[in-house]
Amino acid sequence: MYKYFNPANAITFSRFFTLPAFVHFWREGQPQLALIMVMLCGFLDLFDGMAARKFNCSSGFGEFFDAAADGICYGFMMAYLAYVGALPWLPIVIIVGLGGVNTFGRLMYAKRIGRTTNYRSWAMERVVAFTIYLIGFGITQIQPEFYSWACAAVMGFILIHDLKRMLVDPVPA
Amino acid sequence: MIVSAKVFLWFNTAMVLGIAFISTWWDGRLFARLWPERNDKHDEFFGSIMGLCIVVIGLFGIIRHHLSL
Repeated sequence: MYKYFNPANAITFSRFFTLPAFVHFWREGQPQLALIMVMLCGFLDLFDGMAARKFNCSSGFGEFFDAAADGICYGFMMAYLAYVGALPWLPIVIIVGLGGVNTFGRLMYAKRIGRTTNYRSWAMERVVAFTIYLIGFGITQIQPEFYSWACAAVMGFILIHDLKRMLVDPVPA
Repeated sequence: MIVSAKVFLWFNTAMVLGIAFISTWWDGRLFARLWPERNDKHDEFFGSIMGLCIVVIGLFGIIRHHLSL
């Protein structure tokens, strides 16, 4: 258990603290500060990998935890914005659902490989960035309907590709 | 509010344009570099194509927003 306590995972975990602050600022009518919390969450994501390399504590669990933290943080923010009516709910439900399928696919991939590992999807990394912008567009009300449906479509397309890679194609040696 | 709504909108527009510029540069280079070995490095190559598609979507949305204002 204690092997998971390291600087990289601590930084990843610290991203969860932006969530209550995000909700607080939104409820207080401070969307700009809420947007800063989204940016802080994304900013911290840049440093966990760096910390893992610097302190030599890279692990399969850390990679998976990082991907899971992305899904939980951005999924929560999107779901909250849909709940308060800043984003349309249907595409957000689809995006969160696709995120769940993606996590399931990654777990199955780890099971196929036989160790804790994370399937690196270069395309899905772009979608994670897209969801951050989507949250920003929801906060600023810049074409939230258009961007939500576009994000759901792109994510669905990439997920079909990734599921084939994770569950059907031969695993790398 | 830290800045006015108008400044905030233009800040966001500038941010989208800046990110679109960087992403086009980054993924465009990646696409060109990986084109000869697109079958061997399929995942990276596919990621660069998706990155460029997202740039197009991002720019389309921001233009649509400013035209509809």
